[in-house]
Amino acid sequence: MKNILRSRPVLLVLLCSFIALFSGCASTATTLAPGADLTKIKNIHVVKLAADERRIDKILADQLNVMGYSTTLGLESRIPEGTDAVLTYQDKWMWDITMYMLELNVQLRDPKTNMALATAKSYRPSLQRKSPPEMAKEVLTEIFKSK
Amino acid sequence: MILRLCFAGAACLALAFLSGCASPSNATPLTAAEFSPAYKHAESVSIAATGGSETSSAGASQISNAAIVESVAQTIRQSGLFAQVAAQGAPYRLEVHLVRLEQPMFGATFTVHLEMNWRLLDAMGNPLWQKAVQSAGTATMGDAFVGVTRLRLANENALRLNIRDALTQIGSLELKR
Repeated sequence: MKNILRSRPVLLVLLCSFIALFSGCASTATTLAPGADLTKIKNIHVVKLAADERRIDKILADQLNVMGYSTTLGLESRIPEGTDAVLTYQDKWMWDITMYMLELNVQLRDPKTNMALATAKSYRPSLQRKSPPEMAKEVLTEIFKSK
Repeated sequence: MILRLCFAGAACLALAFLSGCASPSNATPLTAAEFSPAYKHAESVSIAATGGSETSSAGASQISNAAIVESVAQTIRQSGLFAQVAAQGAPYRLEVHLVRLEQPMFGATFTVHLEMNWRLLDAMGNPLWQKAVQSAGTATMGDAFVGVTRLRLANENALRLNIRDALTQIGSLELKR
């Protein structure tokens, strides 16, 4: 028993099992607010988080452009006229050998009331990690699929 | 060998105490001291909640639609904000939509950020008042040593504060029928 527990392969298997047990599975979730209509949205303002040095706002804006939406980037206090919706986001990062994006939450909001029209979340633990652009594509596809 | 097992055991215990999972949030009505409306309305109101999630045994504690409805209903009954809470067909309808529940994964103090959309509608479905309300709820190790319970308490505190803020604003409205 002593020798088995000292064996590196066994310890590695135990460690991986432990990580798998506590890390959970990848998931995406979307909610649409009652009465929300996303079909008329053409212009979206992506609000940059002040502390965001990884420029997740730009990644989101690029993905929206690919999906056919016109986007602007900037502060929440500087929403251009003619904006149909405002996109806000929260990103969570973890370290596991390298830093990876654990979770990306986005909310599509009414620019007049700031109320959320739709939200989407992508959660990816270490073993199922994806790049930020891939996670941005996941959440935005989910949001606009629900319209 | 014994030392290694002790370290492994201590690490597992630390993980259990500091992390949170799997305890659903309960309905948390406000007390009369926490909420007293400026105006009380003689009509009844129905309440609907969406966007909440049920807690799974392997996941973090969540706030369900039922917990939101029950918390709001009990607070309204206790405060007299509306004369009655009806299942449906009331002159007013309160819609609550859980937009975002941001939770920590580890820590001695859990702070949860909650955002909910609130809408008060008349019988025809016209919005009389609507607002996105954000709140933060905290629970420390003094509140609960085990992470599971601490996260649930933080959720409930955030929910209570969100309800207080929204109903205070509704309680300041002069609704005319």
